[in-house]
Amino acid sequence: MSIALKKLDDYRWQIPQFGEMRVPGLIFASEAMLPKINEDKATSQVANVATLPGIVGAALAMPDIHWGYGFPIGGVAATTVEEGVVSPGGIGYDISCGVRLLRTHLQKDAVANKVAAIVDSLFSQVPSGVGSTGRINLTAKEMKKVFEKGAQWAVEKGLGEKADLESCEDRGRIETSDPDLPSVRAIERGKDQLGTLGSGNHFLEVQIVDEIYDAGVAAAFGLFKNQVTVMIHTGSRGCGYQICDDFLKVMRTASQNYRIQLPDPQLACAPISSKEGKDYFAAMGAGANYARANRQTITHWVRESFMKTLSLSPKDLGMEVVYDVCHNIGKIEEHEVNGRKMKLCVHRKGATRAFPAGHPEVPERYRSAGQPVLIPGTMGTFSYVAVGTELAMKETFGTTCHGAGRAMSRTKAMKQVNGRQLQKDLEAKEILVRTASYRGLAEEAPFAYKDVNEVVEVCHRAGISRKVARLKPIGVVKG
Amino acid sequence: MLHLLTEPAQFHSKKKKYLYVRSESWESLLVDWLTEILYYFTVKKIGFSRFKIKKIAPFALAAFGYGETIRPEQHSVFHEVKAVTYHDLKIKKRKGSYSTRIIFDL
Repeated sequence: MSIALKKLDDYRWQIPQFGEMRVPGLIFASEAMLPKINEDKATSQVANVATLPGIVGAALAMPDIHWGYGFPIGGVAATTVEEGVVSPGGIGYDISCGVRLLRTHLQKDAVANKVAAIVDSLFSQVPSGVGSTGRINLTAKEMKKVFEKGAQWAVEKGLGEKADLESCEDRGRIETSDPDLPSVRAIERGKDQLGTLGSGNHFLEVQIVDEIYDAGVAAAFGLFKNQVTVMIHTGSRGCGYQICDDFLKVMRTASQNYRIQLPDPQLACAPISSKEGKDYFAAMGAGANYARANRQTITHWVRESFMKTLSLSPKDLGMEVVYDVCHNIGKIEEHEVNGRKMKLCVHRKGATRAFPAGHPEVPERYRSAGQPVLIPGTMGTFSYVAVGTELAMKETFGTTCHGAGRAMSRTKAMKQVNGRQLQKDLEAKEILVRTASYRGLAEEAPFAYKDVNEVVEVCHRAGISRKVARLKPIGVVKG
Repeated sequence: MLHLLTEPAQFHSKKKKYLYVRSESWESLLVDWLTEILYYFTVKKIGFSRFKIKKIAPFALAAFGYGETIRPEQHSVFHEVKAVTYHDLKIKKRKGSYSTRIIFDL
C-alpha cells in the first residue's frame, strides 16, 4: 500500500494519522531518499507501529529506514510504562547489536607498512564467519553470569580493563536482566559464540580519523586527525536471536490474551506491566549483556593483536574505549511529551540513542560535550562519530540513525560482483580485507547499502545528531 | 532453507534423528519445523539431507531426519540463517499442493 507523505520540512515527512493509527508517523529523510524508501513496505510498517497501544508522540523512522519484521529497521517508538506495550519486533532479533569504538595514541604513519600484519592478526585472533565458534566455551552456569553482568563479566575474567566500562552505555551492563529467563536453547546457542563477530554486516575495522567536524567535541572524545581507531560491530549472536524467537512466541499468545489487535503478527506484544512484558524486558536485558560481553572480549583480543604486531606496551598503544552503544534495544527512559514528563519504553530498532550534553546517563567525562554516537558505514565506506543533541530529546526520544541500511538484496549483490574481485578492488583503494567467505563478502558489497554519508548528513541537518568526526577504513575483518 | 544454509546432498545418512514439533497453526508448525532443523544444524552441528515424515496432523509433525555431523573441512556452509520469521507468512493450497513464501533472517 502506497502512503502519501506530508512534507514538514526538507528532512521531516509526516504520515498523517489514518485508520487505527494512534499517533502520526514521522520519517527523517531527504527528498532524494524517498523513492527508495517508498519502494519497500517500510512506510506501511511505520503506520502499523503507530497503532500500538500506549504509543506517544509519533512512530518514528530514521533516514536509514528499510523494511524489517514488524517494525522497520530504523524504527523508533515510545510507549507509556503504565498503559503501553513492549514488542520484541521493536528491538529486533539481534538484541543489543551495536558498535564499540576504540582510540589509540597512534597516528597513521605508525601503522603505514603494518596494516596487513595487523589485519592478519585480527583475523586470526577474533573468530568470524558463518556459525563461527569462539575461543571460549562456557558452561550454562557461566553463561548465566554473562547474562547477569555483561561486559563486567569479561573484565572480571581478565578480558579488559575496569576503565573500559566507564565509557560504555550502561557501563556495559543492564542491571534489570534476569539470567534465569533465557531458555536452554539460548544458552546452547551462545555458549561457544562469545568473542565472535558472526557474519553478515558485522565487522572489525581498523580506521584512520579522516576528518574532524567539531574540534571541541572531538577533543572531548579523545579523537584527533590521522589517529588510528578500531571499530567493532557485532551483537548477541545466536543467543540473542533465540531469546527474541522464544519471546515472539510468548507475545503472540499474549497479544490474543490481552485482546490486542495487530495489523502485523510480527508486532506481537504485551503490556509492559504484565508478566510477559516484564519477563521479556528482563530476558532482553540478559541478551543485551551477552552482546556487551561479546564486544568487551573482542576488545581484549584486538588490544593483544595490536601490542604483539606492533611490539608496543599497553601504555604506548593507549587503546581505550571511546564508547560502546547499541542500536537494537528497548529502554525505560524519562522524556517530555507535550510538556509532561513521562516514563516510557523506548524501542530502538536499527536506531542509536543520542543523548545531549548534561544528560545524567552520558559518562561523566563526556557530559559537557554530549553522548558519542557511533555510526558504522559498510565495508569500504566511511564510518562516523556524531554527538547527541537537545533537539533529538525533543523530537526523537533522544535517537538518531544507526548506519547505512540495505538497498539491495544479497542475491542481487552477489550477481553483480565476485567476492575475490571486490577484495582486489578494495585493496586498490588501500583497504585490506580479510574474510571467512568470499560469497559473504560479495553480499556485503558497498553498493548493496544506502549511502551512509547521506544518512548521517540528513540527521545532522535535521539536528538530531551532530557530526564530530569521519573515519576511513584501512583494514577490515568480515565474517 | 537447507539450500540457503548448505548443499544438503553432501551429507550422507550416517545419523538418524527423531524430530517432533507441535504448534498452534499450520503456519506456526512450518516455522517450528524449520526452526527445529535449524537448531540441529547450528547447535547440534548435524546436516540433514533427507526426511521421512511419520505423522502429520493438526498441528503436529513427527519425522526422522537423516544426515551426519558437519565437518567444516569437508562440508560447505553458505549462510548463517539466524531465524525463521513469520513475516507475511501464508500457506496457500492450490490444486492439491501447497505453496508459501517464507522469510529467513540471514
